[in-house]
Amino acid sequence: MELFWYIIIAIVLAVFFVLDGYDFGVGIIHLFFAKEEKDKVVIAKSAGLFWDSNEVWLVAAGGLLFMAFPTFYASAFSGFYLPLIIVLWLIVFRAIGLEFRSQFNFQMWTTIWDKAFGVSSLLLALFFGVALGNVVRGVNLGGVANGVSVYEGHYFFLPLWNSSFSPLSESPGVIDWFTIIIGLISVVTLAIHGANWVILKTNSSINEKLKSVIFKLNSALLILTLFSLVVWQLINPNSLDNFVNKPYLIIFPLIYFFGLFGLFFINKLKNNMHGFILSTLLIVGGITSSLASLFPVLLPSTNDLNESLTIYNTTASEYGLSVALYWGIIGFVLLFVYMIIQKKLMGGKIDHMDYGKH
Amino acid sequence: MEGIFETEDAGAEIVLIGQPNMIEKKLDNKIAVPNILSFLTYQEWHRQIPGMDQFKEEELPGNIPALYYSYHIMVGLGTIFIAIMGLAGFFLWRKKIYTSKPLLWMIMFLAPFPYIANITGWYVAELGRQPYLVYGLLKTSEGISPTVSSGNTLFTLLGFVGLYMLLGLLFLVLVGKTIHQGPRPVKH
Repeated sequence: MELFWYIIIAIVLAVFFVLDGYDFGVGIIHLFFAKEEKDKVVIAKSAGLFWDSNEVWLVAAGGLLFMAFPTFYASAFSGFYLPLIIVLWLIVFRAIGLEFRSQFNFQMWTTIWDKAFGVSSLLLALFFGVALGNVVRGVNLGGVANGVSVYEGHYFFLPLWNSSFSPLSESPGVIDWFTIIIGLISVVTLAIHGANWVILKTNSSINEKLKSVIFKLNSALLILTLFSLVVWQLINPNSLDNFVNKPYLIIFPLIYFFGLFGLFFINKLKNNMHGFILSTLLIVGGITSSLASLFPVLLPSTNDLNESLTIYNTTASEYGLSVALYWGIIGFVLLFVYMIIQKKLMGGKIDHMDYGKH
Repeated sequence: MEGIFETEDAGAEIVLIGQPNMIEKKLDNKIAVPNILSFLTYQEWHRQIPGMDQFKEEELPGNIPALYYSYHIMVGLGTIFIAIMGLAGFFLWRKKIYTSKPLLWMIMFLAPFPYIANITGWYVAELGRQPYLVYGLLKTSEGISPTVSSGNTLFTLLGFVGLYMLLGLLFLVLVGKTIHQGPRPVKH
């Protein structure tokens, strides 16, 4: 049952990053490449019409973690208190950037909200990558200092950074040079994904230019990915053991690299949907590979005193997990009906779709 | 919540106005209607409702006056809303609503009050279940994150205060804009 819910949560997380990922990416593209007013409006709209329904999946992932792995939830939400609150603030700014922009029509107003949308999208993409980096690297569970746990074994608290910015220090912070690399990978990946979404959903005048942007970003991504794998080996020499012991897990990195190499042919693709599918594979492959390499650990411990949090030692009671199954099915049916209706209403290019009247 | 300090055997009254006096444990300047609270709660006029004297001190919410006022503001405003909306519905039915100025003025000035009622309602829910986080199961003091220091929560509290100030200002600007535009002209 733990395994079942673990897989469900992994799927929900992957869907969240695929869906909300493109509107983070759209924000990054908007910030750096949208120059004409017409493009700005259309590109912002390609995120503005969808972001709120996409973030349902974030809420679902949080709720499911709370339900299925309460100890992990309590530990992580206390330990990552500061970054989570900052993510919350950024989400607020991104949303008001999108919604307030068109309320007044003078330059200063629209510029402020365009930047609020773009910058917070960029920072959110970075922070979600940093979060993944933290989960992969592990945290100082129990807050061990001088060989003694300060807290109970499954609790921790991370400062935003420590003075050394090193992932190898006894108590690493949220931001260190390893998590920043993962954060950059996330920014580049989501920018590619967002660019594909803009090409797919709009007739903006920069669509052709975005294809060469994707090509360049993709080259950067390849280098960053290889670099991060090397660094990861340095930090945790056992990081690839799961793939050796269970060879079928290799499918996940293969998905990632299939997307990565496929995107080098972005200029030759006839159908814009194919580009979007490739960047979707990139995201799905990246997240599932990270999770597969950790499995069954949810949050590794960086010290020897306290054991890592796994899906088995943080789970809820069997009764709770099975009751949640029934309600979960109802919830997911509703979610899918909602997604299908939305897709029908907002299919195709959105350039001439009116905001709030469809 | 209802300001019942002492248990009345013959049925509890509903308090309309009164100021909780925590020193003498009673309501000052009270205006109350007898037996209504028992009726509202149990549909029986003379059923006994336990007052605060029946609970242990440590099982009671820490701030009775704040809870009492929050609840009375919420319910009072709600009752006024229902009355005015009922009146407006009646005027709409008689097709007089667009020409009756006093009523329209009244409705316009009502605009901020639903927010107040909303927030005080939230206070009631939060203050009223203290000292519990989940009533009867989990105390608030047991529910805190052991690793998050008060300095960090103060930081985020200040951040939220700033954020909400900004949002509040923007809200006023946008509402002002909507009011300035006025209603759409009626088509004949």
